[in-house]
Order: sequence, then structure tokens, then C-alpha cells
Amino acid sequence: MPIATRILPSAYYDSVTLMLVAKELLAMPGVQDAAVVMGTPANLALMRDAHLLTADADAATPNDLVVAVLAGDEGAAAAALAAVDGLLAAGKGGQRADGAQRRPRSLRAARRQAPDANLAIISVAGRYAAREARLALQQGLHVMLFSDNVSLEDEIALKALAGERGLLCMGPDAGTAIVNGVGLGFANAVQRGPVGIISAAGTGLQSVSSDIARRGSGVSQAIGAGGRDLSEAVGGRTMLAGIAALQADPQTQVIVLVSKPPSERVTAAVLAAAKGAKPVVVCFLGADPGVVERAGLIPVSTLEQAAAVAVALAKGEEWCSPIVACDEAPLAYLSQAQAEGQRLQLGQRFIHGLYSGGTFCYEAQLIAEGLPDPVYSNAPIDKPGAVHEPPAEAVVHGQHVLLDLGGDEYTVGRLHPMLDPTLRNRMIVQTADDPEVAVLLLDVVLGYGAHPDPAGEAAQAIAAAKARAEAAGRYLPVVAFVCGSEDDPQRLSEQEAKLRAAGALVTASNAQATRVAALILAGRS
Amino acid sequence: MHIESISSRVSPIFRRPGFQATAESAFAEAVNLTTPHGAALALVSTRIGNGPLNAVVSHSQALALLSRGDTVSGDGAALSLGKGWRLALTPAVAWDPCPDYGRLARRPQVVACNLAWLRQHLPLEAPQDSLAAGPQALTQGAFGSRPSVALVQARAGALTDGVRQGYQQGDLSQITAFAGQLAGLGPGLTPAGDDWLAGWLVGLRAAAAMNGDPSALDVQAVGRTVVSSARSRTSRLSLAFLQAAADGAVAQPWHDLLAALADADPTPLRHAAAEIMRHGATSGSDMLAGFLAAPFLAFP
Repeated sequence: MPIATRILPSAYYDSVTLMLVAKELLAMPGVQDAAVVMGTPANLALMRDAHLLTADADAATPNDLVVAVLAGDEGAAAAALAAVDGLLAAGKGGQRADGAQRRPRSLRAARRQAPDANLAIISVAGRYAAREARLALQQGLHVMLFSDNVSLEDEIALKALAGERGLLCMGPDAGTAIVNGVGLGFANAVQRGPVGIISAAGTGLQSVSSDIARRGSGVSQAIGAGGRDLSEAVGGRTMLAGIAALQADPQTQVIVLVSKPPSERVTAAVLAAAKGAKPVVVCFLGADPGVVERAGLIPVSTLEQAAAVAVALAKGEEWCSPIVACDEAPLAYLSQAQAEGQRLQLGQRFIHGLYSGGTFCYEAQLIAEGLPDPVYSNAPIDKPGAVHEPPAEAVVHGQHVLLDLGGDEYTVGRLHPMLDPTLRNRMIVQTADDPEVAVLLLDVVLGYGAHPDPAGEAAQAIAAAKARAEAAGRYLPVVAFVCGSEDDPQRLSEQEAKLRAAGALVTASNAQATRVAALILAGRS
Repeated sequence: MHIESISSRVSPIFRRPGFQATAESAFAEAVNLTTPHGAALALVSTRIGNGPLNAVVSHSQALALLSRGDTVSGDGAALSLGKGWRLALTPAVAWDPCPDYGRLARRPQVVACNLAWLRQHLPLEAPQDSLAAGPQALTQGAFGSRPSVALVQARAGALTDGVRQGYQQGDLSQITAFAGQLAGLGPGLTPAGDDWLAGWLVGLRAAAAMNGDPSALDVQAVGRTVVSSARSRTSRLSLAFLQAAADGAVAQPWHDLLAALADADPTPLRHAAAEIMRHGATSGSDMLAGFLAAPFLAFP
């Protein structure tokens, strides 16, 4: 078979580009093998081993880019080589390709392209984000501020400006929203319906909205307030504005509020504003339910309960039964959990949770508080007066470990785990080496912005972890749940099936998953 | 538009009246230049920042004016990019690319703890196709349909062991033999083998500062040996980075890492390591792997 070679003198591209080009060439008709490397002696030696080295390539210098194609016939080889320039130009990180698609480079230009737009999504580096958001608000646009690292002062000023102009400023760090049926950021594909949601937590919003869809109902509007909105300093400005908007929205019949516990003053302000003609379900994770109840609103303690109660209320049903049903749901897994627990060894004592969703990690900690051993997390539950010491060691022993892999310490310089699961997959496999781990607990988050096949990725790592534990003479139970809907691009049922096929026990919610993990622990011989 | 800061290593070249260089490669955030005498330089954005070969331009749009093969000239006061664009050199702040290695000696136990953390986390957080990642990486790559990453990692593993053993035994000829085979190994702009060697040389310098240099070999002599063995076996640009590392000159994130190593607060170390790992596809991680392969003293 012919090997065609092309030498590009003094052509420098990063390795990702070269690997992508090689992959594209391999996918072309008739191409059997291809190499795209700099012509250093070390690389040429590897090409020789791969039987791709020709005399031309052997004469290349370390400053030359060498492309070699092994093809079924000369025509296929020539066609592949002819495609190289275009592939290199299009390659990510490579040289600029002139004539690339025209995208607006400023807010003003974007408005010229879409003069009817009334909402701007700002996703630029934090230090520029406030300026862009201010410009958008000044031009009469609602804002979804996806960026993080916006200062507290800027957040307060932006939200004050939005308030003055009767606009909504979602964020900063607002990852998810559904506005008039359009999913923004990491939103899930859910049908429109009677429930309006305002959430300070991105994955909290995703969980409640997709659980509502799973229960056959729908979402009118879902507003992401941003993680700091309910802090004492910001005062819940976006949540308050959102409540007013949803109270006035004719399509919204039930309102759900989701957040970590706000300060006392902000709680009082939000609850007072929420009391109106429409029923309001309040899911302030870990907060005192009595405060909510005394304000005449409906308290729930998990994200799953929030969705279940909201759907029941929208149907005109009473709200106590859904809460009881949610609490009892894990018992359906009892016999399975006991069977898994009996396979554990004496030293396997702790739950190890690796979360891509911060709110899921938080909620799991609240549930795991009931376990006899302490819980370590990089994103611990907020408690008044608590001091969060960083761990002395990178590996934490003798405790349950629930990690938010979307935290800064895991995402500096890399994509969020909902986009790139590489780090988590490695940690999943590594968990198998820890003889103290009794249960591996995972979330899988679907949606428009998420990885195209997160369960498929996790399933490979789960299978590898289970095999590794087995090789070490242990059994490793894995409990997982999928946050998403059947209409998501990844499809909920397909994703759950992949996890089950890998040997994971799949539950319908995060709270259920955590409780089932506890049941497995309880089932140890 | 102007040059904001410039490495003192390349400042005299950029400021020379009659300066001329050709763009070897042009990326969105960096343009690599070569002078007629073969010196490698770079014009970079503020996002890339200071580095041993870098002149940092105030506005990255200036880089968009350059394509591969374009000429950059200078008259001592400014650089001309053609089409009438000039980048003033006078406001440029001089930046010393050699960090203070001596600070590591002041807090050796803190450094040892931080190194232990780095050793534990690097294989976990490095890209899978990096030399720093474990042997599980079996992705198809630039060397054809076989798993090239595994090929490179397997070959590099044996060669890096050879380089390290050569140093431990005080044997410059062994270093020459293995470093020569390691240089140029890997597909990209700066091959993984070069990145590892550069990191190892920086690590030797840091270890010497921390340990009081117990080795029989002089770090500078080892640097000269490595660079000499890599000459003609890797690209001009990569060789220039390797030469800089041999002289102790590194980019700003490495300055941050060395400072963070002596800091009891773990946060700056995590940020500095992450910033280094963001460099290139795998270059930063490969260089960190080399750095950690240096013979630092261990503390309990």
C-alpha cells in the first residue's frame, strides 16, 4: 500500500491540533494510517516503528512538520494530503483561519444583529463581566451573568441598577435559567407548565425543573439568582424581583424557591415577599422549616420534595403525601442495598461521593449528617461560626468524603466536571484503591450545556473501578442518580441504562441516592 | 499599542536598532519569531504574560496583524508590524525571568510538604496524554492509528529514568545519551520530552538551592550537557525554551509556583500548579513532571 508524505517546513502547531488532524485523516476514505508530527529524530523513530516512515520523511528536520498517510490506493493518499492544509487551519489552537464565521464582537453589534432581543447572556472573564452587564442593563436588556469572579460591590451595583430599570439581573455565576421556554446555560429540556422556580443554586434549579418534568408537569419560568444573591450584602435582590415577576405571571400557578439557608434578615424579607395569592414551596436546604411554616409557606427539605410538592399543588392536590412518598422511596431499594452491603469487607466503612453539582454535594452532606462517622467536604455545609480548615493531607481518611468537583480547587485551569469528566473519572478509578471506601456515590448531570454522554463516560470509570476493587479482593458498590429529562439531548433513560449496565444502583434523586448509600452501609455483615 | 513588559533575556535583541525577525507561527495569543541569527523570541498577549522569550503586547489585537512569514522590524524605540502599526518599546517594563530559587532554602519542610502534595495531585490532574499522567492513557494520537500516547509515554519513561540515573551517578555521558533521545519526543510545538527536560533542569536548580547542592554535578554543567545533546534533535523554538530553563529562566507561573512552594497556605500552590498545567496541550504538565523528578530532599 502506498505511503504518501508531505513536509511542511517551519510549521508549528500544538499537539492537540496535530492529533485532531491525524484523527481526521484516519477517518477519510481509504486511509489506513496517518501520522502528523514534527520531524525530530525521536518522532521519526516512532514513525519508523509504525511503518509510516518514507525517505522523504526521514530527511525532515526538527523544524518541519511531517504528514504521512498510508492508504489503499494513491488517489486516497493524495486526497488525504490535499486536505491537510484545511484541517490544520481549522484546527483548534492552530493558526487563524481567515474568513471564519462572523460573530458580533460587542454588545452593540449583537444588538444590531438581533434588535428584538431583550436579554443578554454575559459570559466573559470576570473582570470584564460587570462592565458588559452594566452596558446591557443600560440598554434595557435583562441580564443573565454566567461569569463568576465578579466582585460583590459590582454585583450589588448591577442589581440595584436592574431594580431601578425594572429589569432582572440573574447571577453572577448563574449557570442555569429557563426563560419563556428557552433553556439558557446548563438548563434541561423541560416542557412548559405551571411551576415557576427561582434558585440561587444552578444544579438545584436543574434538579427541581427536571424532576418536575419527570413527574409529568412543566416549568413556566426558571430564574437563576446566583450563589451570593441571598447573602446579607446582596439582600436577595434578584430573588425578590423574581418573586414579584412570578406572582404577576399568569402562567405560573406555584412558585418554588431554592437556596442554601439565607441570613435571618434576608430570609424574613424573602418569605414576606413570597406570601401572596399563589402557593410557594421553600427549599432552603438545611434551614429551619419552622420559620417557613410560620410565614405561611410550605417548607421542604430536599430538592426532590420541592418538585414533588410543587407538582401536587399545581394539580390541586394536598402536599403532605408527596413528602412522605419521597422519604419512603429509598426503602424500595432495601433488599438490593442489603445484598450489596453484605458483600463489603470489615474495613469498608465510608461513603465516598464525587459530585459535579455543588448543590447535590451540599444536600448529600445534610443527609449524611445522620451517619455515625464525620463527613469531610471541600465545600462544607454553612453553619454559623464554623471555621473551614483546609485538610492537612490531600487524602482524607477515617471519614465519609463528599467532594464538590466543581469547586475552585478542582476547576482552576480546567473545565467544570459537567463539561469535562476526565478528572472525576480518574478519581472514580482511584477510589477503588482505598480499602476504607464502602460506597461510591455519584451524580450525573444532563442538559444542553453538559457533556454529550456523561453517563457513558462515568460508566467506563465505574466498570474500571469495580474491576480494580475486585482485583484487590473487595466489592465496590456504586450508587448514582441522573439529573435530567427524557427530552435532554442525552436522554435520561439512556443515561440511566448505561450506569445500570456498568453495575451502578441508579436512583431517581440525589436524596434517594445518599439514603440508599447509607442503607448499604447499614447492611454490612 | 505598546509593549507592556519584556524579558531581560530578550530585551537587548528586541531593542537593537535594525532589529528584524520573521513570524514562524502565529496563534491568537502568541506569535513566535525567529531572527536571522536564529534567536527565538515571542510576542504574546497579557493573558500569556511574562516568559523568558516574551515581549508582552498591551493589546492582543496587535497579534492579529501578524501571520506566519510576516516580518517584524524595530528601530530601538518601537517595533513595526507592517501596515503602519508600531508597538512602542519605551514603556516596556523589564522583567527578570530568573526567579529567586534561594527562598526554597528558607522553609525546606514547607517545601517538602508542598512537593508531596504536588506529586500526589499531578498524575491525577494532568491531561491524560501528558507524561505526568498514569499509564492508563491509551488514546489514539498523532503517530497513527496505534495508541501514540502510550508509545511516547513508554519510551519517555525509560529515557527519563536514564537521565535521572545519569545525574545520580554523576555521569554526564549517560545524561547526554538519554537526554539526546528524549529531546524532540512528542508531537507538538514543544515536544513532551523537551518539556520534561526543561522542568527537570528547573527542578535541579531548585533542589540545589534547597538541598545545598549535594550532587557531584554542577547544575549549570548539566544544563549545558542537556542543551547540547538536544541541539539538532528538536525545533529552534523548543531548544530556545530548553536553553532558557537551563539558565534558570522560566515563565511567570513558574515564579508563582516556586514562591508558593515556600508558602504554608496551600491555596497559592494549587492555583500556580493549575496555571502551569493550562500551558499548552500537555507542556505545562510535562514540565511539572520533570520538575518533580529532581532529587529534592525528603522530610518526614
